[in-house]
Amino acid sequence: MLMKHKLTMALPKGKLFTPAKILLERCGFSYPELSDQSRTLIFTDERKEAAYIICRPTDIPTYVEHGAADLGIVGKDSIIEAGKNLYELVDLKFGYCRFVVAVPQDKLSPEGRFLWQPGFRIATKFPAVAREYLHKQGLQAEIIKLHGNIELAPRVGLAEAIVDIVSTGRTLKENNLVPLEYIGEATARLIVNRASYRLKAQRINELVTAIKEVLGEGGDEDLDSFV
Amino acid sequence: MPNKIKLSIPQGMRDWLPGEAYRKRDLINKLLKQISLWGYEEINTPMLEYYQVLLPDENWGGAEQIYKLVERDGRILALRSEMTLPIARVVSSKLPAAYPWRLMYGGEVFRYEEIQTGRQREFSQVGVELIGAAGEAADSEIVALAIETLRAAGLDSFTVSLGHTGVLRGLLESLSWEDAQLDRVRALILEKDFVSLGSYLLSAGMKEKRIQHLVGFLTCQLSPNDLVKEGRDLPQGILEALADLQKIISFLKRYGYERYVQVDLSTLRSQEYYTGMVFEIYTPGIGYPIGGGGRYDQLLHNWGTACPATGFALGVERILLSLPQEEKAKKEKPLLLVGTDAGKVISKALQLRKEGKRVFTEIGELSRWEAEKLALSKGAVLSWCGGENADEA
Repeated sequence: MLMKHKLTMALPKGKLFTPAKILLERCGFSYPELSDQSRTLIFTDERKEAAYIICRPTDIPTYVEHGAADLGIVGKDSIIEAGKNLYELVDLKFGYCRFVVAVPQDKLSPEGRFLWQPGFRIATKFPAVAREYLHKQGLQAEIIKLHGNIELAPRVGLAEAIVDIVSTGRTLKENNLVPLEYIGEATARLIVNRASYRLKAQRINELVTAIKEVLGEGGDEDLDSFV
Repeated sequence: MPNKIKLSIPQGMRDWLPGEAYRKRDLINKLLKQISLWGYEEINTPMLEYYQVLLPDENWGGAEQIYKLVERDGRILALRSEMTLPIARVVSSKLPAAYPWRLMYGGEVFRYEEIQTGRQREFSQVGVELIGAAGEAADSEIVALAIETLRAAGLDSFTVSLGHTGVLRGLLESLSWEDAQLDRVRALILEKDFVSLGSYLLSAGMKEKRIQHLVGFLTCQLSPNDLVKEGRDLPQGILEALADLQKIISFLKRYGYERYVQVDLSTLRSQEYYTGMVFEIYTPGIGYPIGGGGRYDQLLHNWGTACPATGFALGVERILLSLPQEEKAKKEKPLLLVGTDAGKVISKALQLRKEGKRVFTEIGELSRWEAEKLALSKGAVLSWCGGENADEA
């Protein structure tokens, strides 16, 4: 079977795409046609015996868990929510962001405190993260799952607080939200299917070694400039 | 119009239609036949068990995966979620202590979990338990039997990934940390989140060099010939586990099966009863293990029998998915006997069946053309005996 040696990688559309592509280039997997803007969603590089699947970040853990892709590059935030059985092998260091609990500025007391009340609702793309936060704090709130533009929810009365990821915090500010607490960090990770990890051990280990070398050269900050 | 509920089946269940049902049964038979050549005897246990049999220790994980229902007397029942626990119960309570017992089974189990490739919430397992035998001879017998059974089913391209629960145990024992910290390390290794493991060990005060060594050791393929040497600077518990694996591998060489085996210490099984070597089997094209097993020396204690044991289970549906789809062609077509004279058709059918042929009949006023159409739709060979232009088949 051809598939025996071919390495299939799932890459995320959006802000992590370019640094992921550049990282692979530096590891010897250069494929200039690769793009997250084209209509093509699968690219095959016969010379390197590699294929690339371009998909939504939140779907990458699913592709990798089922073995449709041998490995994937995706943010830790997507991995946490997916709760899949995967090997998380390398912290790629780029795409740093933080999970934050944020509330509207005008809901703070004059001393800058936020009073949790029974019946409060949290809007989030990350219900698992929000649930764990509530559990640790011993708080009770209803979690409302949204798929995007979480900052909108408090403004229209859908929720009293949000749990979201932020990199610069600008979106929060623009929506009059203030961070209450940072509850975790995320960066891009290399994830691997548990069967591929055994069956294509040699090729995967070669790539992991190459990635570690590239990152070791201090390439991490450099890659972040492509985010 | 029938309502929707009447036609649907619960999530995670599936119907096996003609053709695929045959393929599944045929595969189960092939697997069991091969296993029986090694002296294993079949055992059957009920689909329904008391819940405590399937979760003898409340601290074990997996409780949420068990389908539960309430018996009329108020006790909690459960659909069996695996076969090892029920068999351990039987061996402890109903079989004489004439060890070792070599037992095999083939049957359906139920787990409430995410639906995966080749795994619904009801799925079939074929497996074995070798109870009352300790040591590398028994462990290697189990691994070799798993390999031979898959080969007999027609699969050749697969890898057995061998690990040992002693590695994780040895690692945790060597860290003189608090229980909460050890639980966290254990959880991260089971989740295979080696990135968080590294940063957690660092934050707990372990030196970076040691972390690299340790994580590298857990995630790299090891040479099966020099295991003990590769683990040199590691805690005693880990060294003992490696020595155990080394012995098992030297036995597997005598079977001639070492080419199927790789050592990968990140191989861990989710069942908490494993105590020694563990393994998972992988094949190209399927992202999940198609089988796995290991040693479970403490499990029978739960029923008052102290007895070492080892075994494996294979996922029937996953093996079906990985086999080439040629079965249909191999099966001989059935005969369709058509005629108006009931006596003639029936006696001819009886005679052919005695010869071992598969025959079905259609008695009535069928035109030759209608009979041919019926035979075609059933994939059968038409045998025309009767009607106006009667001719013999």
